[in-house]
Amino acid sequence: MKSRSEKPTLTQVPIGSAARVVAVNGTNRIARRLMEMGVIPGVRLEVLKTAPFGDPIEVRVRGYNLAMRRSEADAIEVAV
Amino acid sequence: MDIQLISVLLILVVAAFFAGRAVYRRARSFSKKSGCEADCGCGGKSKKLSSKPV
Amino acid sequence: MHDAAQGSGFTIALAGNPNAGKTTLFNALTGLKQKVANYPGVTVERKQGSWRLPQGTSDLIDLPGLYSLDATSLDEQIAREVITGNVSGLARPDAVVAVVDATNLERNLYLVTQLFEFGIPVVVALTMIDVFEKQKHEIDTRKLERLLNVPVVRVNAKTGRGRDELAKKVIEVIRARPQVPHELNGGLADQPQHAKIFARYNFISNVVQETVRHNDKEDHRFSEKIDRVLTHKFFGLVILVGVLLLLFQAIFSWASLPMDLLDKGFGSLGDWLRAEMPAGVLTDLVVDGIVAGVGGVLVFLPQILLLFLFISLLEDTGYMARAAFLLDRLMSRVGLHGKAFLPLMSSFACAIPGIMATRTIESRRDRFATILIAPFMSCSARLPVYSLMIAAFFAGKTVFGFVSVGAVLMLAMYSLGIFVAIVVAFILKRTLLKAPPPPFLMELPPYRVPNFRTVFQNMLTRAWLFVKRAGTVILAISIILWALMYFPRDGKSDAFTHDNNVAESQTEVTPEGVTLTPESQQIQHSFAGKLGHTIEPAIRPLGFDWKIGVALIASFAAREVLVSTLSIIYNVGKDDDAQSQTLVQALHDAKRDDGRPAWTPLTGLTLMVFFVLAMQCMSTVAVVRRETNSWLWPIFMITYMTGLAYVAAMLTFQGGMLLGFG
Repeated sequence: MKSRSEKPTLTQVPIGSAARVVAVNGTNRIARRLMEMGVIPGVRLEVLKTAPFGDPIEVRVRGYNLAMRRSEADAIEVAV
Repeated sequence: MDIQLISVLLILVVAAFFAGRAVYRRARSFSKKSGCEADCGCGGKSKKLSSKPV
Repeated sequence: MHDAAQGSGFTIALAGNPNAGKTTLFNALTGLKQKVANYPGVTVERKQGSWRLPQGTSDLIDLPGLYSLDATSLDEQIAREVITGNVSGLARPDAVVAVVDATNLERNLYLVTQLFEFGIPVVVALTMIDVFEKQKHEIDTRKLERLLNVPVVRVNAKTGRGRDELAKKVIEVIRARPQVPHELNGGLADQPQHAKIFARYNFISNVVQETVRHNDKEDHRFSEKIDRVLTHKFFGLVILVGVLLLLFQAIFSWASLPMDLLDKGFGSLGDWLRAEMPAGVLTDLVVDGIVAGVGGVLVFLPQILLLFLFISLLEDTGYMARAAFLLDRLMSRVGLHGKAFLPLMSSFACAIPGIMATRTIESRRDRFATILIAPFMSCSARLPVYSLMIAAFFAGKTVFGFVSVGAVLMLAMYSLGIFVAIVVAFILKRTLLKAPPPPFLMELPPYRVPNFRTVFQNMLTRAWLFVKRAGTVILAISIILWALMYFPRDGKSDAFTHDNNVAESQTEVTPEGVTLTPESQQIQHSFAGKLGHTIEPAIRPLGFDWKIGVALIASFAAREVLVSTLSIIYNVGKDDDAQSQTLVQALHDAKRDDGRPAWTPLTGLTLMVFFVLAMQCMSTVAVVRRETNSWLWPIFMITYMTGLAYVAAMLTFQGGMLLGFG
């Protein structure tokens, strides 16, 4: 999945590492949903694992586990 | 006509009535308005799964 | 507003995240006094019950599990309308109980901040405290109350502890001054959506910081340790298949004894009735029609119970979410929506609620694609058919030493359905129902020990529905089918005196030279017999004879009716004096018109394959018509599914014959 800008997104965070959210891009429903679930700038995300074939991924956020596709994770800009 | 035959015919009529009513109710559920009162055959109560996709 | 002094007639809504313990709490508060229906015009489930408060009974509405109330999905819209009192037939709630999972505080509190904006009295029910404290975290409930400005009551949803306190607080807030809707940081109404979201979470972060002390020392993420194995990149899927296999194996072995007992029981009942009742038409109806037909289906009750037990367990432990996680890649590759998982899973119980559940899928094309493949998920009504075939032709053999061939075949049949569904979905999404790839966002809740009371309740509800169906629809159809096979009497045996003695000169001989017994003659000349003979040429390439044909037609009314019909056919054509046999024995003994056995293992397998793919019951057709609002789709479905079933069955049978299995 290519990032839209040179800024790093969640898809580039390796398994076992964590990152802080910088922005959640996009105006579609998914971006909105992610924010409602607590994924907003400043929040710490930890990438836990991927499913067979690499998609979806499991992420720990605000104390719970969230699964999302790589295409959705790509909307989340992070700072490592 | 012995009593057995009469009972059978009566039962048949009742069964046909119930079967017909079941078909009618299914046909009636064609309108969007009726919720699930027209029992659609399998018991519309479904247990919600605990893992809901967002 | 209701008269607080009288206290009766309150309406209270129960809101909260999925997996927060809301349903468990609802059950604890209402006991079994619940009513499940639908909101008008939509398939969002509407659950209401009575909750006894100190001053009287209130109406408790269980809102769907929600992450947010901002009305971007149907569930949320409905919830908003319930809270604002815009649902016809439902009073505006006097208060909302917000179920908040202590182990997931921040996200759960988001909903609470939204509830403030409605100006409705709120009481927070803090659940999962036991889990929370086991992980050695601490929470200052009083401070939380102060900061949120609402009562916070600790409850244990499973045991019900704390519900009296909860009831007390609910009445308190209703009686207090009417609430004023307030938004955090006031005046945010005109701000863009995400600014509101940030503001709410900022507030929440501050509150949590002040009230909760997290214990970071232990690695208490037990669920993740389990998941390291269960959702392993490579072994996760293997384990999933293994779990399913074990499931089917258990369904078989645990149910076999009760089923045998039921089978023999109904057989004895039939014999006893025939002995006690005077010979005649009515007796024939009762024994060969009712007992054979309804009994034939009720025999499978133990298996149905076990099936639903396991489905409940899988859901309640949280394993279903992992299955969705593992399978999503596959599903999205064929263009299936993430939200399709729930409807498709539900369809394993019954396709009808499953198809209705597709309403949560906003994209019309994605939704239709899901509806069209839902019937391939073998519904519970097909279980008796698979089970019968396996018991008759594949019993006793094992694979790997302990897994029965039957369990493997069951899994194979279910898998066949899934496989075909995937292929069809793929084709549909590439051609008729092209649409952009759908999203997937799902919480993986921690593994839980299932609440056995809920599981048990669910099992009983399902079992009762099964029995009710047998006693009504199937009973009526059995009676009618029996009549179709019994009449017209062919005159050689007298219906009125029920004298089956036939003179030698009147016996029939078929073209192949087989002498028919009076009973077989009877069936040949009945309405059903004539109908069966008419369609026999069409099903001969599948290896089916006309009796099986009759059963197939009848099963359009309800899948289990296939079993009833076979039971009736083989009973009606049976000599009065003969002992009743189990259906399995009857299948072994059944002969075609030319004397050859009617059933072989290959025939059994072919029938199963047909059943996996053929268009389901008429109820499903009705629901599809309703949900797609046209006749085009149901007709399309009947056509393509029946065609597929026919071809697959033919390939199975002819292929098997070629390979020498016939």
